[in-house]
Amino acid sequence: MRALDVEYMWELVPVLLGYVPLTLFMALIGMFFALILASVMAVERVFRVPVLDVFVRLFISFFRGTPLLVQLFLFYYGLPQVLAFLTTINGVTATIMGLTLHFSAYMAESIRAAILGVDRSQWEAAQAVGMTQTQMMGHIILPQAARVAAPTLVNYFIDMIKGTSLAFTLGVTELMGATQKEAAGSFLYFEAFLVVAAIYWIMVEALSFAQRHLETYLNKAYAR
Amino acid sequence: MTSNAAISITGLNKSFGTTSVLKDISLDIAPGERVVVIGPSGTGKSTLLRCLNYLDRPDSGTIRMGDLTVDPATASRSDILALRRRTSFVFQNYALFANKTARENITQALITVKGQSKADALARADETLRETGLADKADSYPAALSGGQQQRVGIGRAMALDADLMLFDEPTSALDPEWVGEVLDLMRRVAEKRQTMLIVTHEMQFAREIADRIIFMSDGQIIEQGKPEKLLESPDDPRTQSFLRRVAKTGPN
Repeated sequence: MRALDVEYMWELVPVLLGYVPLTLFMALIGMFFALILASVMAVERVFRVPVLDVFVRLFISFFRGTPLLVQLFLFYYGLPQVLAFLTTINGVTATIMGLTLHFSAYMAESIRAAILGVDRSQWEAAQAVGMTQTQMMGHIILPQAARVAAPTLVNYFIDMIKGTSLAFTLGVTELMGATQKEAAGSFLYFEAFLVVAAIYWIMVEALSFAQRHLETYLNKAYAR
Repeated sequence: MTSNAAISITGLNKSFGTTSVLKDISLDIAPGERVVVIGPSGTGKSTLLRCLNYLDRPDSGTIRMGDLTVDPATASRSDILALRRRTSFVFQNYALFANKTARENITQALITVKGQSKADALARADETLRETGLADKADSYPAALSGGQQQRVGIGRAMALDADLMLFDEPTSALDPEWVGEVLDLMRRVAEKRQTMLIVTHEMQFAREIADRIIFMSDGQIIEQGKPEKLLESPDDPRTQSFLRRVAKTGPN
């Protein structure tokens, strides 16, 4: 057994922190598109639009049913072989794409359940005042569903942040890839991965803190 | 029937599964008329109201309001929307938008449905909240309001829509007895403006006070209708007589 090289770890911190923005960028952009895609699919699943419903169910089934890593390889290494215009796809784009599609499938199911959980009286009241379906969903149903779905969605976002580390397998030098390179240079694998683990952990904890505030905010209408 | 009725209902039928809930209901309501529907529970009174704005889609029968005629055989989404925009609805369980304050419950439809400016909608909401005695609760969410206050907001939301016909579906039935009075008072004030109203209620005294006409429904049919004094004091049909005797014995509700 040897002592931890604390000095090396300390020096590594600022180096690795420099890659945090890329990690957050991939996760945030992925989350942004995944939320939109998931909401659209969730609403579709609630109303069961003919024909479209078949495709949405197939999409959700595939992206929930296969590993994220397989999907990433499919996009990055596989698709360019069959779709010529994708030959220029870079690792970051492929990762964002993979995260978006993968997590939108999960999120669509949570949002759908949350929509169906909104009390029937809320739908009827919106209809009775003469709202169109779009107005009803936008102003009344989705905001109320968001409150129910929020904790689960934040959990998916946490998973997404950690999922960005798979970009490393597509040759992207992000947080994980940079750590791997640093460790390979110094041979201090334990120290390097301990530092990167701490960085991921702190990011997720900060998010959990934000989550509590988000939930307080979303619950403000329901306080007695 | 008169073509200048606020609403003209002809041959309305509605079944749930094999149970026929409304049987060939025809009814005209004149502008400014206040009509109260009474009758035993489960006889289709609420379903009648809910069919009038297509919360429940009738199986057959036409509903005419002014130049708009809606028939379930041909009703398009825009027909139904138009019908809903000529009526307003007060729910038994209030059904306030849970994610909106009292004020927003009123402004929401004024802005999104009626296309009013935010300033106009706010002015109208504040005026309505004053009328309903809830000016100090404008920023409260429904969860923080009592049942009576919630129902007053519910009535305010419906009032502000300036609909040709206001539908009230047992507006006091879900309330604790202590809140019934304030809600009935507000409905009296709405009635005084000669707003066209169709009210389902078990409050017989209230019905007698404000109704121009009372309809007795039983088993999905209109059995008898007439002026309050006539219908409540000397009804012709034995079913009306027996219902009124039962109500008199047990009191309202």
